[in-house]
Amino acid sequence: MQKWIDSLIARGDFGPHPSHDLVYAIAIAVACALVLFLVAVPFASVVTWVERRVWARIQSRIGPNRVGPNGFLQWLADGIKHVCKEDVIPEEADARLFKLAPYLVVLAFILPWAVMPFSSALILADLNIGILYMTAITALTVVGVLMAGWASNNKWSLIGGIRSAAQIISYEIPAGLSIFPVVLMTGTLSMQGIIRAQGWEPNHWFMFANPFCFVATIILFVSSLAENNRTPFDLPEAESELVAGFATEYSSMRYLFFFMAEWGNMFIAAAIIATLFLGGWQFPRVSASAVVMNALQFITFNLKVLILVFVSMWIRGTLPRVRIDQMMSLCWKYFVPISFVDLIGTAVWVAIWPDGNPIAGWVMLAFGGAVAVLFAWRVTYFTRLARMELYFHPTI
Amino acid sequence: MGASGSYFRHIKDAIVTIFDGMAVTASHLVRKPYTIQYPDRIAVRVQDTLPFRYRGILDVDLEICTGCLACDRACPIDCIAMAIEKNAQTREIVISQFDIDIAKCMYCGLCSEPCPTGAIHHTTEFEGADYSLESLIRRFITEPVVAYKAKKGPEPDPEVAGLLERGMKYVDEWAQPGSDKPPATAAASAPKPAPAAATPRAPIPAAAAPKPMAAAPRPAVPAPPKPAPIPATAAATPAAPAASASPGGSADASATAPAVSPSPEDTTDAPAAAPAKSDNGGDPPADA
Repeated sequence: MQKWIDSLIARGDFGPHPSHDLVYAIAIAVACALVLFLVAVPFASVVTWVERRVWARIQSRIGPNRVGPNGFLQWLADGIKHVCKEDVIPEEADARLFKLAPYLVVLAFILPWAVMPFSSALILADLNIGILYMTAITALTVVGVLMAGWASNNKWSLIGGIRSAAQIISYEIPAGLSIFPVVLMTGTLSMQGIIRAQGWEPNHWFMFANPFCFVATIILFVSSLAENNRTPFDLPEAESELVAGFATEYSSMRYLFFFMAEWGNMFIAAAIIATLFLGGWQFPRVSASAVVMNALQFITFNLKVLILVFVSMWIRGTLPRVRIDQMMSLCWKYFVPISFVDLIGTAVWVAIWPDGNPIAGWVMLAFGGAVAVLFAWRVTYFTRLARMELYFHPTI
Repeated sequence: MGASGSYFRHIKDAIVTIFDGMAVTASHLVRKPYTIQYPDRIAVRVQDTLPFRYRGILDVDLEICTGCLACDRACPIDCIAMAIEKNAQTREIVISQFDIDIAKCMYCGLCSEPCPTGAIHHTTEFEGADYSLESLIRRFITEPVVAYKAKKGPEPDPEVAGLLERGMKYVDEWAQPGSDKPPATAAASAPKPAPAAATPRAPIPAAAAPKPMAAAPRPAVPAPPKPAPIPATAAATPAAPAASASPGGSADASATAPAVSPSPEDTTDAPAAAPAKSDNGGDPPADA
């Protein structure tokens, strides 16, 4: 991208003697805006509709299907409705912090897109500390959420904010520890570097590289659910206990910001897992054309991410909310020790086989396949048990 | 060992239960949703799936209304407003007002019970939402009409025969609960003469008396399309459109047609007798 901009500058598209830094800044701003408006915000919006449909089908309902074809435009209607609502700021609230909080949350949702590796070329900035940047920035959410909870001057909001802070900070530890095994194996923190260290075949993915990474994948996934306040860890906004948690006093566009960030963070969390453990955009080299390859890589990456997002919706439709003590004990008594074992195990593994063990990849892949077959068998068992009319139509 | 054993048992339990729970919800993804998309995306209108006796919004068949005011008197909350005038020369009753305030109506059905002809009856319609309370007052009469008076003769007026058939069915099934059900259950409940005998209303003996006779030889196996006797088809022809138009018509037709068949004279007399009585007395027993 830098070369392309340099060539534009050399052609004189920006005047005779432009400041290179200024042109770069403008180019980065434009690229950021394009990513935001073409990927991030549409995803965060449309996924609300997808989630409601998936959730409805899990509960044998239909879900929103009136606005647009199959209800596809529901997100637009909801967005317009929210924008049209009155923006209420409580009298007793700390107005300045109250206004600032949603922007911090949205900032934590927007900044990670800078290192989002959509394909081998489609990445805004391939930072050499990409994954560290990603974890650091997503943790910024906690500041916004805590600020929202405090500034609202409302008991529900404060409890929600405190819970969210406790939850996000706690689960940062197993999530970070689950990232380390991959860093150990690749020796890099760059998103593209980690993806390039994997292959397109599943047995070359880090998820199946060794048993410790397999467990680390699951721990990272569950921790990311907790960091995004997703069910079963949605204590900060538990409707039955805390009204809407830290978002109780918010309305209109500010409320929309919180939930756009929450749904958008699903994509980011899934993208981290896809990058670290599922081979990212890796695709077999079927074409010499860079454009075709990049398009295929883009599709591969997004497909992996969307599958993970679907699993997180599916979990939301399956599991009930945990208590706060259960959530904390899960993190500190189970996830943290297990991730330490993962880290040490991977370190030993790398010491024994510095270039990886090719047999382990196949064995772990076979294990994963066996689990999938067992799962499919359980699904057919429960489907037969219900003696229901089957209905495979994805929509209705 | 015990503590560490429970530690690993918790991990195992968590994995197994979440595994099975996810399988259960995944099996729901391929099941047909239960949702009925009322009101616009359904194959059959809900009104057409409701039973004949459903107490929906009231309707009046003015063609067979005798103007006896029984419904007006029976209504416990006075949501029926009626006004009649009697013409001294022609001895005709002229109904000049018949309003039902649907907003007040509590759908108790006490008005349709004493009606001698079944002119006032509940429909299966239940969508009564409107923009003002005034528009919820159903005004059935715009200009005064002459009340129905049964003609002497073997057969009712062909114009109102269908309505009468439907109305009498409505009245009969009030007197004989269960006759709306499929034939097998109807046969079981029909021999009980108590509800029919307890109502000294004109149409009831005529319609109810043949019923045990018809119910007695009925086979135990429910056979709705039974071959009816020839006079029965002749008598039931005017009623056919009404019966088929009413919901659940096929099941009811088998219950009422045999009841009509053995004595066509009696059934045709029955509606004729009803207005005659209410005309003279004007006060049939209000409650059965």
